[in-house]
Amino acid sequence: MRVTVKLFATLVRFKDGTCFGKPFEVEMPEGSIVRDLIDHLKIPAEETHVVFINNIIEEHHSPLKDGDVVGMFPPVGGG
Amino acid sequence: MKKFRHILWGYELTYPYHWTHQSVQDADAFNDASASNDDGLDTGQLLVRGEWNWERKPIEPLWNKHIGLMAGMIGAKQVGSAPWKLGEATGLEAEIVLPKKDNQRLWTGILMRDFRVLHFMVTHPKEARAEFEPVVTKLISSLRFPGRILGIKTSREGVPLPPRYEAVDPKNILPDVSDPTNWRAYSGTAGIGALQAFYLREVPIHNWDMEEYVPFPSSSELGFARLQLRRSNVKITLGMLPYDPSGSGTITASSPANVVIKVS
Repeated sequence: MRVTVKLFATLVRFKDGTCFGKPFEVEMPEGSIVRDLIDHLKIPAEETHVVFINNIIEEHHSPLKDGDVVGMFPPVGGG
Repeated sequence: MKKFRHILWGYELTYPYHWTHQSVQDADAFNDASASNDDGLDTGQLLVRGEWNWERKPIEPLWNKHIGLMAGMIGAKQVGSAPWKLGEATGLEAEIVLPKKDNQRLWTGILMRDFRVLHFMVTHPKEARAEFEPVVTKLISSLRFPGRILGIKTSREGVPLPPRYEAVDPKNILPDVSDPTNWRAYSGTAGIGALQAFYLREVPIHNWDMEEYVPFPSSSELGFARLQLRRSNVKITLGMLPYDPSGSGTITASSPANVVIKVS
């Protein structure tokens, strides 16, 4: 399945060539959960403090499905 | 049955027609109106209060603090707690043993869901347990966290606005602002924790990208909560500015806050 990912604030450093909220696609195995996607992106789990799936706050154990748009945000973004 | 939706904390409860709901400071009270006498002493009551937990503190220390506060207030002596799960929310619950002379029964629990912690407290006269307990159990079991809540008002730029917040002159809240035409200000009394729960839920639903977020409280020295939002070419800085109505000198996640918006 293919999901669209948006990284915000300091999380953009984990994806070359991206910027705030710029969407990119990721291919994931069927049955994947948010935590699998975080691992795939090599982002430390504690840095993805809030995860939105299709604009709704979800948890790391929430399942993903084809076409989902996943936004990730760190504990504090900005100063 | 009637439905209660807490727009800020984002939960809903379904309660019987003959019950009443009342907001009491930062809590919501549900009473069996048909059972109350003139002074309200013979009725059972459910109180629900939200708490902001952006740090995702584990449930145990939150529970210990909750129980400690309650025990201090009412003089309870024995508290044994048990795990509690309701839908996707998890927590702890306990029946609190009150002094023998007290005719009330007291049950309490807390439930955690993402960054929200809901505190529940049920009290009722001991002799009313058989009638009251099944009804309040059903009421609490109706707890839902809807992903979307319809009817949220917005500013002219499309930024969601919390309920019962009134537009005011920005200079009333930010006296030093030099470009007031670029600012909007809204005055209200909701706690800054509840406001953050509201904005974290509503911002993406209203198609704003959240580019930055400095929560309050946090390790930041900002002293307020700040969101940086972007939608197409519109950039918004949204501040939730806590204030201290009692003059106690203490600002916490429960302190009321005004909302200001800067349009760029």
